[in-house]
Amino acid sequence: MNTAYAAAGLMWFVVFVYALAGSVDFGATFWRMRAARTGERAAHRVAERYVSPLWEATNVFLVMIAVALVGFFPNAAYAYGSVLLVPGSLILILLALRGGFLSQAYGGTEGHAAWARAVTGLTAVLLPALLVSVLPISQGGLVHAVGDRLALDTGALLRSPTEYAYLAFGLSAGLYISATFLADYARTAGDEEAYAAFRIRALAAGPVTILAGVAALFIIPSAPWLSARLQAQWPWFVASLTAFAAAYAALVQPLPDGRTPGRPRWAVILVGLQFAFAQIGYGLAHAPYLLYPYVTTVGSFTNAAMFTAVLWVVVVGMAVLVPGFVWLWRLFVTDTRYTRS
Amino acid sequence: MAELGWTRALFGTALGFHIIFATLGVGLPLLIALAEILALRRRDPLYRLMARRWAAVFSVFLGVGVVSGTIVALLLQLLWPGFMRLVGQIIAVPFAIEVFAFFIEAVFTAIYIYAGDRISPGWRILSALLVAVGAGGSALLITDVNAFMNTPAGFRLDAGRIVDLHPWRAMVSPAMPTELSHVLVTAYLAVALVVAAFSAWGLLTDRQPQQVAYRRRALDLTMAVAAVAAVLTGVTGDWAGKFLAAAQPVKFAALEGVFRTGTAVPLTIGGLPDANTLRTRWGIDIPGLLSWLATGRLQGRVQGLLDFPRTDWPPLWVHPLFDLMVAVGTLAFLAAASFWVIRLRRPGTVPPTWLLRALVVMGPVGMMGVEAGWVGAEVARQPWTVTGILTTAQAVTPTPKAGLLFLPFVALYAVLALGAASAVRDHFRRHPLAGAVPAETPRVGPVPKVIRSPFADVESHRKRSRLK
Repeated sequence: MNTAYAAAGLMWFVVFVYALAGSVDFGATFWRMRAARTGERAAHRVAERYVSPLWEATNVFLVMIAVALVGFFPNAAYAYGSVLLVPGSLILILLALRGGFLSQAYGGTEGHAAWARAVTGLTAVLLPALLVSVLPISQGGLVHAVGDRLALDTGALLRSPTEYAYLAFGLSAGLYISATFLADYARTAGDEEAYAAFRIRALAAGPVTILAGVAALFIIPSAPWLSARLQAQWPWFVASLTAFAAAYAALVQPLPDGRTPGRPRWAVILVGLQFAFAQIGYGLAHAPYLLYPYVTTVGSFTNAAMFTAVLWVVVVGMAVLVPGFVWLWRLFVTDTRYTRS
Repeated sequence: MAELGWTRALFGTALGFHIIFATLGVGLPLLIALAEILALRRRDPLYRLMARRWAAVFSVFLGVGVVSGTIVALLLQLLWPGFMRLVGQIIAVPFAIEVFAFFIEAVFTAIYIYAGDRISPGWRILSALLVAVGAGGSALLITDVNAFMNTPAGFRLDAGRIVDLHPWRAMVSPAMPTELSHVLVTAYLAVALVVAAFSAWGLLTDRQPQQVAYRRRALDLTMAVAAVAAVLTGVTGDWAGKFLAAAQPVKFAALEGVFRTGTAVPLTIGGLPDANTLRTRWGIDIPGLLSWLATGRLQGRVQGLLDFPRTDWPPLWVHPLFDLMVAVGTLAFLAAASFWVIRLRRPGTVPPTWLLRALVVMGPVGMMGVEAGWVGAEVARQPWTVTGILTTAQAVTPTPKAGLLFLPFVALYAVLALGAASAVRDHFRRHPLAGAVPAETPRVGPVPKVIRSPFADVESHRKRSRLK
């Protein structure tokens, strides 16, 4: 039982990393399209510099979520595989269009490039929303047992107000996280014009994200079992709100040297904490069930031999992944020769 | 049953598309790394130009490969949840390691392509080699799951329950050595042929001396890889055939179109096996050869399809597909052999037109061989997804109408293929070889320290177009 929750905790971590890295990646793709349309060359440059080298490495975490689910919770993988056929395929098609056209958002004729930017930007802004909208499906009420199989009630999904609250949350959170991150990225690069552009976007998207998040979790929840458990986790959500307020303060704090206000490095760290706290609270509330009420965390756990084997792979793999990512980070995020070139 | 057919068609399309880009992703980094090594050792800037041009193509193809690979990884769960539940219990380890192998490929691709001008030549070669290692490892680990599907190992079934499970032993299934080695060397062969086809096409259409010098070097490099890989393809293919005859006799019988068990069985080249007359019609028989290929003895015993219940027979059209694969391998060997015989007899000359034309044709034909081999290998395992353990009908999603997704995905792949092709074409239109080759190609000289990223030209082009 404890090992099942340890595996769930590991999956929580992979999901958390992808939530942040994916938001930055998708958001930056969207901001790049916006900036190209509005002619903000500074913002455009910063967004593009981040996306180009890093999106493929970021995508690894998405595949890792799927692989970890199969390895740790094969019965949950079976259940989700069956019910997510249609929404999952939609996500895959958008993901493919976004990745496939990313390398063509430049090059070719200007018309072709503008078209490719539109495809990548629009798909990128939708993807975090659609990925987050899997959560209401996991909370029960939208999946029914039909005979010996599980089926998603697509009509009920489309009519569910909770679903739209989660969509709005995913959409705004992706834009908020990426704008905050890119603001810091621009400041590191010494690009004050781009910094100002992303700071304004972060300030606009932040409150929307909080509203949508509160609406999804507490105002229009769909599942009574989850609501009760979420309220029991209130300290985590208070901590999350506090981190949000602090991040906001960090972005509006005036600087002594007269540059655009804000300390974006602090804002990025605080936004990371904001989402970590909220995801801990949500994870603890959701923990007993992977797909309510059919799949439980303990009941769908894999055998001990497979758990040990996959755990070893993940530990050794992380030993490779982390230094690799750090090198990548230093080359493309903190190396001013790249960010300022 | 028709629905299962559409679901298989959908997944087959997804995998068939991904295999092209995965194969290119495995082979191109090796060629790039070899070109970088030659650039450093021979101090010949043409090889650096070669590496840069190939890297530009690679980065486009890798993007498509990443998305098509992500689709395959997630479609596996959406279309075959029954299979993935079994995978999670027995053979999840290779999938987990694959994530990290691919991560190595992605990280070092980013470093090689976008930071190549900020790291030393040694690091650059190491990065290219690590891309090749990551890509090859990634492909081999997925193939390892396929080997398990052919010859499951590492567990026992006790009244339907999995017992005595050893996840690491499941990874080293009996089919693993033959299957992995054959997949890897054929990927190198196919990609070397594809790149050689472009060089051959260039030599046919453009006789400017500088471009000829560049393309002859490219042809030498790719055909050297092709020659080694073609020999190894034959060796590993023979090994895989012998293994198949012993370990999966029904699959072997279907691939070779053999109905009756016997000794001194002839090899039937071509032809269509007919389930009604129990004969393979219109084929050419070579007496005793199949026995010799399968067992090493002309009198060796080969099992035919009639030894097995009909419900275990795969579709019989796998035989012509299998022969197509063998024919492609044979042609590739002949092409490489002719190239090197002529190259060594007449050094310093451009290969004759007929050979260049043949090499142009061999590019797509080589990739066709990869596809034929893969489709043949998968279809000949039917009706099983995991031999003797899980049928394809048990593995498929219980959600009805999954086949309706077939057309949207086919449309998606058409868009992706056109997009990738137009991106590569645009790149080479903007960067024609004509302007890129140095007028004189010094054999000896210092290697410039700063090597531009393949996108340096794109960047400057973009800046110019933005200023307009």
